[in-house]
Amino acid sequence: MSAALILKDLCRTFVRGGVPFLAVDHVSLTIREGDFVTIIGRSGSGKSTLLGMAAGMLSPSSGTVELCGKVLNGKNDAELSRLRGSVVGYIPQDAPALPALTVLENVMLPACLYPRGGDIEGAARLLLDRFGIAHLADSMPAELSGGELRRAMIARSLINRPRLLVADEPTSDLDVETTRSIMDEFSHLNAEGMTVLIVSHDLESLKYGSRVYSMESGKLSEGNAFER
Amino acid sequence: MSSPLSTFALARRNIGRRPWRSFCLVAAVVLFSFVLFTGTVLSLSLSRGARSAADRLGADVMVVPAGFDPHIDSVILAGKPSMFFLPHDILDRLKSIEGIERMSPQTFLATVRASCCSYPLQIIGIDEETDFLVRPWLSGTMDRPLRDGELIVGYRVSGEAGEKLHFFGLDLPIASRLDQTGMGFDAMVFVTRKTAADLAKAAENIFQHPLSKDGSLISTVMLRLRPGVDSTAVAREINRKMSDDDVYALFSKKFVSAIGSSLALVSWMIRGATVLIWALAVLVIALLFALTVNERRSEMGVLRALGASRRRILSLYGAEALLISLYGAALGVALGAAAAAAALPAVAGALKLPFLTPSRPVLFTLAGMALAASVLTGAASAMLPALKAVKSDISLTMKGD
Repeated sequence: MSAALILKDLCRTFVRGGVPFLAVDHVSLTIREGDFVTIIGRSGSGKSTLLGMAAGMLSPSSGTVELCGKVLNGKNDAELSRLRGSVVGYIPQDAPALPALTVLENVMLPACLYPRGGDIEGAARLLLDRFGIAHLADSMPAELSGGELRRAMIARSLINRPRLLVADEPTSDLDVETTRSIMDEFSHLNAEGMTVLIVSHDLESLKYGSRVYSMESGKLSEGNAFER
Repeated sequence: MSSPLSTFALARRNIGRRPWRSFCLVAAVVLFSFVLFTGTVLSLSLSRGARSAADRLGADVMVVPAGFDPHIDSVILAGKPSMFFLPHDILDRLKSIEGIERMSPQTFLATVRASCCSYPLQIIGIDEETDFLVRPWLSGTMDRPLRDGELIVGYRVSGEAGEKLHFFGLDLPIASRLDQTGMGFDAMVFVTRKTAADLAKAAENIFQHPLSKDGSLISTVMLRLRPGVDSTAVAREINRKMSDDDVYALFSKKFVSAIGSSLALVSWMIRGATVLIWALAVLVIALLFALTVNERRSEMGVLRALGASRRRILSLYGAEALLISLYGAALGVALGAAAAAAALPAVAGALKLPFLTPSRPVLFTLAGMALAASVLTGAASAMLPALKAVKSDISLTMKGD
């Protein structure tokens, strides 16, 4: 099976108070198509930075990123943006939606950035229906509960039929029941063949991944380091 | 197939979602475009009026009774009705002055009210044989001499050629109408000096006018000098020779240059106000957009994460700024046009300066230019903070950093 994502010796340095520090420290990782990878770690461990580089949203200080067979290093902003929009389905932390758009329009948005023809609205409605929130299509994001909004954002991430689903803390601030239902959605998607990469500080999410990694002080190690 | 959520559709949603912020931005552009348009129209109208005054005054030297030179300003600039008279032998005495090519006497008769107008009117009796002031303005519209009992009306006096106007019980036909001058001439009526005297007689039952007793009275004498003769020197010579007889000569260049000085001051003030408002508009728009861009950084980050390139984000913000500027500029120019039509002549009247509104094509061009300048100002001011924000890494932008 081919690799959806290959990270090689990835580093990212930030400067804090005038002192440089490694937020991501020589990380290598290969995610094959169909994998469900969960990366856990405390806040500030570097997992969101790693996710940003993996999804082509943050340039690494060193190392290489290969996304669905394409090396990201050296690509310009337009090329990276197009790649992000077509192969990555991204679910941001706290599920921010565009507040001026309805739920339906939020779901349609990624497809509208690079229109490829077809019935975008129909596809968006199907996705909303799949996640049980079709009745909220014309609502504004502010009117939705946390769980409903996460579902809407998962629907948004799938509108361009991506090859890799990337979720940053998808269950933060959710109650146990809602967390379980959201993670179930990721499991269903993975069962249908979608490659899933999740970073979370919620140990509950570990139950759903096929492979688990831990992140501490910018270093990535396989397995649940917090169990030891 | 066009995208259902185009750049402009997204921009319109964002504008509509923040009505108060959008209102403030539109108001800043409205203020700028309003001042730019009305200021330019006012400035141009005054400058055209001054040029018209210089071109149309025609006379090199004006002779008036001593002490009445401010009155002649009011008559020529504002059309304010006045009555004053020179000594009887003024024409004979002026013949002794060197350098005069032509001289034409005029008689002023002020009405209290007239059927044509709701305000007092200045009637000027001209000498048909020697006149060189009114005749050139009529080229193409009246190719025969003005007859006794006929009127030539100024641009703003109501009534068309062939219609009759009622003055002191007499009905006089309009022979022709003058082109717009932007000066007091626009509100005057011109007749022959004999007709002026006849009107004064007809007015006897309303008020006693000196003209009714003596139709040969002269209010002013307009002088045209021979080419190369210095008007200042001639005016000085007249004043030296005739100051004892309450005669005062003023050279029209002085008159026009006085208008020019006032005009320069007013134009400077208009330009200053426009620059000030422009700077204010740039500051307000840039500040409001900077605030809103900061507030929307995470939204910008999400769009970037979903695949929007920097250029796309800038075009989105650019479209928003463009629409806001366009709404503001269109409203500002429309309000400016309405205000210009309603209030500028009154403002010009208060300034006591000649005023000649530009033609419609020029006004449309000015409106277009004010619109373009305002849209450009609004859009450019708004883009500055967006350009800065879009440079950050997406992950940091999403966090609002």
